[in-house]
Amino acid sequence: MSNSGPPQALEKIVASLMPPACREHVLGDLFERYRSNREYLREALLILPLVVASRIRRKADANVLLIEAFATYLSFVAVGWQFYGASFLYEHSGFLRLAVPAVAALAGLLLFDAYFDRGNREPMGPVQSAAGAAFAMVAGLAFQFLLAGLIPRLRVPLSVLLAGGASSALLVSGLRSFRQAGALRRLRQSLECQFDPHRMSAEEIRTAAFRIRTRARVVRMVLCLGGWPPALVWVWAMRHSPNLAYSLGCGISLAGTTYGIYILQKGFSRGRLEADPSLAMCLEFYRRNLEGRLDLLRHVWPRLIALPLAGTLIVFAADPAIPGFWLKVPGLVLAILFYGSLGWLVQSRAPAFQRQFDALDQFE
Amino acid sequence: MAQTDSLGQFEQLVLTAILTLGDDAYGVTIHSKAEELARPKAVSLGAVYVTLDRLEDKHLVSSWLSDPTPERGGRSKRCYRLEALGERVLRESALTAKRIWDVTTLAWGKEWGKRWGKELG
Repeated sequence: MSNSGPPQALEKIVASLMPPACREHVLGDLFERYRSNREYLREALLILPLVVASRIRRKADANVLLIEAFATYLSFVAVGWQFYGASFLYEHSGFLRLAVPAVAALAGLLLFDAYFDRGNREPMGPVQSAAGAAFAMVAGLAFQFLLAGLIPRLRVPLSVLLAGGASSALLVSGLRSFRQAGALRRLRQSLECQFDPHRMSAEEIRTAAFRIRTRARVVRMVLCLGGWPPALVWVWAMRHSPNLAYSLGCGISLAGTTYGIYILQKGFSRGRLEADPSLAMCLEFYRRNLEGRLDLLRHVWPRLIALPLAGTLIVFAADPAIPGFWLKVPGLVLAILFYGSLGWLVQSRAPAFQRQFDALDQFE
Repeated sequence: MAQTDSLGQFEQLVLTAILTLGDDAYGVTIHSKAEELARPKAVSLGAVYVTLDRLEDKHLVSSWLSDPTPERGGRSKRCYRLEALGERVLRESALTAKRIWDVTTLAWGKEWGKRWGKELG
């Protein structure tokens, strides 16, 4: 191997393209393997997409990404609908045209995460979260301009792009700040039963059991307060329905939402804990709670998703404001994607519960 | 913890390379050793980095940055070490490969086994 390295300018260009988390060792390896400028550049360009993809894979959380994707796309759709009415979405391929900046913005977010991550596992602060969201939206808008230049049919009004981009940036940075503040983790902990009897003393097990009971009460209260607004929306829609099929769809969705709230309430009301419980009682309470949540997760599709999805699909299909079957397709697909993602998000927690359940079996 | 029960062939190669290199396991040497083990197939350095990241996520290997050296333009190496879980998984993979070898040698005859054994060195 040659002792002389690549020219400084060439190395600086490659360094600027490499994600910071792997810059040091990748550049060192490339330096060590240096034979000629051409070979160095070729190897660097071959490595670059792979290491960036690897950084994205390590950094991205599929659940969070899905939430961000919906937040971004729905922001653009809502702004398009608000500014130009439903006809923009249905009759002028608005759903498709607005997907372009949303997808590009999402790609921008992933790239920002890959390049922001320095491998020191420090969480992003609110400023970085906002910067990432802003960068992503600028990338989305720039890509949209570029593509609209090549395919004029995909052009989106500037007002929709700017307002949609701004609202997406606000939503995404808000979501990220919420996540960085540990709120999402705490919410997950409330929904799950964080309990490790192998590493806990009897007193700690008792405290954890009481904590699970308190959290279950809070979740039930939140479900009561947060679950009824969607139900009321369906009641309102049913009262203003233009035809029988539309009313039927609203009714099915309303029934599904109400049943979902009932099922969730039931799932978080398992087991009883006395004022001064024995260790066996605490473990039994924990087991019952785990069973309740596992039961919810196993039946998430038939119990929580199926009815609201069916109702929403009927509403979209029966809406006379959307003329023709093909114009209804984007709305139908969006509804399926939304409910499908919701089901997937909930079910993705099942293995964690199952592991806890298995651990409890081993403990006992 | 990430799933470790489905170890790919390339992951086995990289783990074997780290095992044989000992304290000298870093990007360039791991790539050379993996290429030697995978011959006649070519192995790209980028694929080695991606696999190393994945193995680290699965807690099969751990890494750290060494001191910078002048022969690398004043840059550090990222050195890798096999973890206990990695050793166990590699041992299981080697045993499976051995069983496959035994069965195929039995099915295709000892001559075939000797011939390939010589070619593989």
